[in-house]
Amino acid sequence: MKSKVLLFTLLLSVLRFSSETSFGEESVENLPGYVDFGSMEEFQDSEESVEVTIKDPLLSIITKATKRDNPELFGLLSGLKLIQVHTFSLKKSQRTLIKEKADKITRKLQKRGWERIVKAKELKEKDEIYIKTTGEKIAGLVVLSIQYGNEAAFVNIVGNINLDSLGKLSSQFHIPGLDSLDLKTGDEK
Amino acid sequence: MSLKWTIPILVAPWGFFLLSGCITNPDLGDVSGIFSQEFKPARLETKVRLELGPGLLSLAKLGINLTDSQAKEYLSDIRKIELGVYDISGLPSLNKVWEKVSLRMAQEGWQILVKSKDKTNMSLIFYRLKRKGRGWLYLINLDQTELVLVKVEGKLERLIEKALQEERWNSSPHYRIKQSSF
Repeated sequence: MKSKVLLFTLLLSVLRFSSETSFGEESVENLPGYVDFGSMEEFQDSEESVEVTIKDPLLSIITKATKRDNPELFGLLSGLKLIQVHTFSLKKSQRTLIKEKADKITRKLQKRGWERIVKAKELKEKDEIYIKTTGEKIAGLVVLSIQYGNEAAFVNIVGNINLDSLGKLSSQFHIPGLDSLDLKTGDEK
Repeated sequence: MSLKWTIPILVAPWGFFLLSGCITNPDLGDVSGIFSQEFKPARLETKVRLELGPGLLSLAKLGINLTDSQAKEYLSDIRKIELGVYDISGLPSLNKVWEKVSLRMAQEGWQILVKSKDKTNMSLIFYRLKRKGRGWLYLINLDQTELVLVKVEGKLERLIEKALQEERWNSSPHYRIKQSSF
């Protein structure tokens, strides 16, 4: 009997230790889906600029809060670890600068094994969407959306991502560049 | 930045509070100090400083209950509100202020939620969590002549969720058209 109690205590300790190590707070910057867009110093004189950063534990708290009032949104947010959005206005003279910035991020993504799923290019506009997969799951998503002479938006979503529902997430939180994802992936995947 | 819901919720109890004739001196941390210390020779003059604690907020909730049940719901998540309004002059460019203030707030343990600026206005929203969704939300709004500080303590999740849903992360007409088409 005594040995069973001892074994049970030992088992509990192991379980506790493993749960702490598995679910302990991991820095979002270390997750495979995270992307550092780098300094935006070149664009700090933009007339308008918005940066939004929602990460755990705040994101988990918001997710839980939506469970009762908005189950659909709860489903969309569950599993996400970070949503970061940088938008800023562009002058016509910054065309080369923003192109270089986007190319730099693109090179970084490709080097790290990100896959481009959308590329839409027009004379005054460029949209690209990249995903990072780990096994069968999508662990990260990056949107680069540029309207030359008007505005640019860089978005990074980290966590367990359901690609089909991202358009809905966009309409809930007005995240730029994601609203037409379903249509675009259908065309260009 | 749209604060369609947040502002009425925050402003309503202040009106009630002012009408009751009670004004206390709130603890707005060292944020106003950041402005007077970091941006010398900027000058800061207090216009309004007040604090609404749990007691006065309960009274405000009663008042709001009669007019707006949704506002009451959000107000019920708030435990304390502190407000400071200052006349400000002699500041450097908003870009410098935005970076410096962000840095100093981060050093003091505040997490950034939203940074937003245009030609004449800058808004920063920070948060600090305690546990079970409770914590503080800190709003700093600055234009060339006025600084507004708002510190809210309470259950933040619904307030933040609503603020984010109201937030238009893109202000250009292009995005407005794009969003409205879905």
